[in-house]
Amino acid sequence: MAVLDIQSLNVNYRGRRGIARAVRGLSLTIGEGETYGLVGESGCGKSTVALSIMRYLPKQAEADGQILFQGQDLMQASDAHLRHLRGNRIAMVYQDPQASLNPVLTIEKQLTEVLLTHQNYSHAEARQRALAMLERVRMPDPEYILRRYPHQLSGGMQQRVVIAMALLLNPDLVIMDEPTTGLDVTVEASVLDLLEGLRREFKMAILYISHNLGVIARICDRVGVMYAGELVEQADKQALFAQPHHPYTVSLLRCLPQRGTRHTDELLYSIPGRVPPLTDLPPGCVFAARCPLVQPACTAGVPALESVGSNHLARCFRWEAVRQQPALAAAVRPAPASAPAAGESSLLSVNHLKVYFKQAAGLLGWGQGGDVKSVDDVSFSLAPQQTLGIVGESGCGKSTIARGLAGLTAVTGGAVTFAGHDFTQPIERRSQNALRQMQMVFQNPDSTLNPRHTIRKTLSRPLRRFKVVPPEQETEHIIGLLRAVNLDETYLDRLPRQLSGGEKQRVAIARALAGGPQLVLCDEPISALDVSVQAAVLNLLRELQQERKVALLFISHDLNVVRYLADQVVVIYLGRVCESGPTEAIFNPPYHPYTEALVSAIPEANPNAASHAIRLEGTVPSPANPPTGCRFHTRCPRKIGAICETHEPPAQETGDGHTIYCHIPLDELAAMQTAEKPVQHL
Amino acid sequence: MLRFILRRLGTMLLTMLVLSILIFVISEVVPTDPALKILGRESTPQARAALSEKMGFNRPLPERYWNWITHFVRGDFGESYRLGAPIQPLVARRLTNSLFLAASALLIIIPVSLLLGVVAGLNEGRWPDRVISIGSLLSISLPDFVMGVLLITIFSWWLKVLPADSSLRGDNIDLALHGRKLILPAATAALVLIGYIARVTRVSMIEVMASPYIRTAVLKGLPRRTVIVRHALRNALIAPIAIITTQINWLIGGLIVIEQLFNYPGLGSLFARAALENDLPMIEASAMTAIVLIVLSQLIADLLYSALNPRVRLS
Repeated sequence: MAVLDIQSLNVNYRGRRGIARAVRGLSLTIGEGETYGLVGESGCGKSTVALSIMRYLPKQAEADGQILFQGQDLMQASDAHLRHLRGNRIAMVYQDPQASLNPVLTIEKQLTEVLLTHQNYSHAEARQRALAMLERVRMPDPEYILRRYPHQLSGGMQQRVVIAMALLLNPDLVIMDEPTTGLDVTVEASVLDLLEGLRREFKMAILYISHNLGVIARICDRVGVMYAGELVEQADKQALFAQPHHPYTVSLLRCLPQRGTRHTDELLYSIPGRVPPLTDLPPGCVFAARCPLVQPACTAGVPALESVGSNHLARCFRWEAVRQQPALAAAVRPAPASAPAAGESSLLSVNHLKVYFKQAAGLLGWGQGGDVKSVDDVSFSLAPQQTLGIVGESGCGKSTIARGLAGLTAVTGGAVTFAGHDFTQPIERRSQNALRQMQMVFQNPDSTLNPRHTIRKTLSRPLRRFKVVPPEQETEHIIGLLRAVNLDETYLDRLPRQLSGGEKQRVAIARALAGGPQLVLCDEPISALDVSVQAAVLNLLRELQQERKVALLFISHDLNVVRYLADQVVVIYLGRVCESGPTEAIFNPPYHPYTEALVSAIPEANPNAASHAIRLEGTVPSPANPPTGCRFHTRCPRKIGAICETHEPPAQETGDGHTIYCHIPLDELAAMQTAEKPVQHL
Repeated sequence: MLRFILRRLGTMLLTMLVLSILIFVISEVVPTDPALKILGRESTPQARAALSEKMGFNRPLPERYWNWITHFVRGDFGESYRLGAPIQPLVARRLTNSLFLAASALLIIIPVSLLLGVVAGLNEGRWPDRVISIGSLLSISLPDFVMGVLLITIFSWWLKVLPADSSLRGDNIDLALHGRKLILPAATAALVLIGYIARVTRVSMIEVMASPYIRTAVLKGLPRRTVIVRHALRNALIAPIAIITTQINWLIGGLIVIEQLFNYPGLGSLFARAALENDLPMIEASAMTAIVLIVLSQLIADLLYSALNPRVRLS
C-alpha cells in the first residue's frame, strides 16, 4: 500500500479578485521509502499541495478530493487524529529554518516537546533522544547546540535542527518544502549529502518540493512537474531528465545554462509570456499560450494526463511531437556576434581596493570598535564591453565591492580608475558625468523601483538628470528604452505593482541604461527571479551589451550563470581574491581549492552527473577577525600544513592572466583535481 | 549580563546628569533672573537683590549647580520658598502616593489589556474581536478628564459605591484606610491606556499566530493550548510589554489632570502647583525625583525586555 495516495485534489482560494484555482485534479502516490520530487516555478501550487496534506491551509482555502495516508483519508480526519499524525507519522521540513524555529525557546525545548507530546518519555529520556538525533544529522557538539537559541546558529545548522526535529519519531512520510532554498551553495550541498544518507537510513517516504531541477535530479526517485496548478508530467527521474514529454518540462530544462555553454555559443532558451492568472484560466491547455508546439486543438480541449511510456505520464496533446523536439530546438537563437577581444585598454581598473566598516561601539564609545574588513586588498580590471563575473558565498564581500565602486559605501583604501578618472570618492562628490557612466542594477526589483512612480516617471528621471534628450523627445526615448528591454509603450503609465518580477527587473535595467553608461554593476540581478525569467533577463543583458556597448560587472552566487555570461571571473573569499582569470581557465583545473568546492557544490540538472567529493564544512568566518595566513585555511579541504596558517599564499600564474593564490604548486593542484574528477556525463 | 547592566547604569547616570543640567538651566538661568521669576514684575529691585542674596542666585552658575546637585544626591532638597518648609519629606510623601497610584493602575492595565488583546487576536474577525476592538477605540478616543468624569458620574453619583474625592487626610497613605480612594483615579488612568495596549497586543498576536514558527508548532502535533501558551504568548507579549514600560513615566509623574480631578496628592500635582507658584526649589526637586524614578523604571523595563527576548539578551 502506498504511504501517500492523493486522488483528484482541488484547492481554491477565495480572494478579492475571484476564486484562484490553485490546485486542480492533482493525483499522485508515494510508495514506502520513495522520494517523490514535485517541481515547478513559484505560484504553481507546490506548497499548496504540501499544506493540503498537513491540513494547514489558510481559512480562505477550500479543498476537495482524497488524501489517503496509509489508507486513511486525511481530509476526513478529526482534529485529534490530525494532532496524533502531525510531527509523529507525518513531519515537515520548511524553506526558511530561521523563521520556522521559535526565537524564544531553546533548541532543547523545541526538540524534546515533539517526543514528550507523542510518547511517554521522561524529560531525561527525551533529552537523550534529541542528542542522539542531533548526532545523526551530523551536528558537531550536540550538547552545546541543545542549549542554544535559534538565532545563535548558522542557517545550515538551523536546517539540520529542523530536519532532526522532523525525524525524531521516525515518521512514515516527510514533506520537505524547498529545504535548501536560501542556503549558500556550499551549505546546500552538505544538507543534500545529509538528506541522501538519511533517506536510506530511515527508509521513509519523502515528498520533496523544489523549483531547482538540479536538486531534484540529485535527491529524488520519481518526479512530478507542476504548472499553473496542474500536474503536467510525471516520470521516473531518469526518464524525465533523459526524455521529457511535456513542452514545459523541456523548456524548464533548456532554460538552465548547461555546463560548458558560453554566451558566445548561443542565447539561452526562455519561455515567452507568463503563467496565466489562476483566477481566470484560459480554456484548453494551460501552457498553450507559451508553448512552441501549440496547435488549434490545444486551446479547444483540455488535455488529459495520459501514459506516454512505462510509468511516464504527460498532459499534452502533442507529446509525440515533443519527443522529436525539432520545434523546441529551433527556438534557440544563435548568439549575437561577440565583442572584439579585449584590447590593451581597460575601462575599469581596481587596485588594492579596501572597504572597512567601523564596528558599532557603545553609546558612550565603550566596547571595542575594531574594523570589519569586508573587502581587503582586491584588484582586478575590466575591458570595455566585456563582462567580469564576481563569485563567492554570501558574506564574502561581493556586494560591498559593487557598492564601493558605485560610491554607495566609503572606500577605505586602494585605487579605482574608471575611464581614466579616479573613482574612489563617495557618490555625493562625483560629477554628473561620472554618475552617468556607471549605473547599477540590484537584486530585488520590488524594493528598488519606487512603488508610487509610474514606469514613465521612473525612466524619465535619469533622462532629465543627465540631460540625455530634450524634453519633447522624452516619451519617444522612453519607449525606445522599453522596447530595448522587450517591453512596449503599454507599460508607460503602469505602476511597479502591476508588473511581474521579470518585468520589474527589465525596467530596472532600462533605468540603468537610460543615461548611456559605459559600465553597469549588476548585483545578483536574477537571483530573485524564476528560472524561465532568469534566462530571458540573461539574454537581454547579453543583447544589450552588444547593442549599447556597455561593460558588465556581474555579481552572482550561481556559478553556472557566471560561467555562461562572464568573460573574466574573480573568485572572492572573505574580502580577498582567491583566483582570477578568463572564464574557461577558472572552470577547469587547476582550481583554487575554494573554487573547486564551489564548482562541486552545484547540483546539476542531470541525474547521472557524479557528485564531486569535496565539501566545505562550517561557515565563512567573521571578517572582523579573519584567519591568519591564507584566509581559507580554516575550511580548506586541501590544506597542506602550518604554512597555510602562517603565510599569505603567493600569486601563481598559469599564463593567460589566470592567477591562483595558493601554497600548493599548480601542477600538484591540477594533478589531484583531474585524478579525482569523475567521468563527465552529457 | 553583568556587562549589560553596568553599561546601562553608565548610560543612565549620563542621562540623569544631562537632564539635571537641563532642569537647572530652565528653572534658574533662562528666560529671566530667578528672583524676578519668584517675586514677579511688581517687586522692587531691593527685594529681588535681597532674595538673590538669601537664595544664592548671585553666585556663579557652576557653583550654584554643584551646590544644588550635591545636596540633592545627599537627599537634601532644600526649602520650599512658598511653604518655608523642607521639601524632602513632602516630595517623599507625594512620591509614595504616586507610586501607589501607578502600581494600582498597572495592576489593572497589565492583565486586562493583555488578556483582551490576546482574546481579540485569537478570534480575529469574529464577535469577541469586534467587541474588544470597538471598546478599545472608545478607550483611546476619550481623554483622561472625560474618562474620569464619566467614572465619577457612574460610580459616585449614580451607584454611590466609590468616593469621588481621593484626597488623603493623613500624612501617609494607608491602604487599609485609603484603598477605596485609589480605585477611581487608577481606573481612569488604566482605561486611558488599556485600549491602546490591547490593540497593540491584538496585532502582535495575529502576526505571531500567522508566523512560520507557529505553523511548525501546530504541525508538530502540539495541542492548541500548548501552541498558544508556550509558542505564541511569549513572542506576542514582547511588543505590548515594551509599550507598557514606556508608559510608566506617565503613570508616575504625568497624571496631573487625573490627580487634580480626584484631588489626589501625587507628585504630578505637587509639580504643577510648584510651577504655577514659581517655587523654584520645589520645581527642581520634584522634577529631578521624577526623572530618577523614570530612568530607574526604564532599567527595569530593559531587563524585563531582554529576559523575554533571547535575541536581545544574547546578541
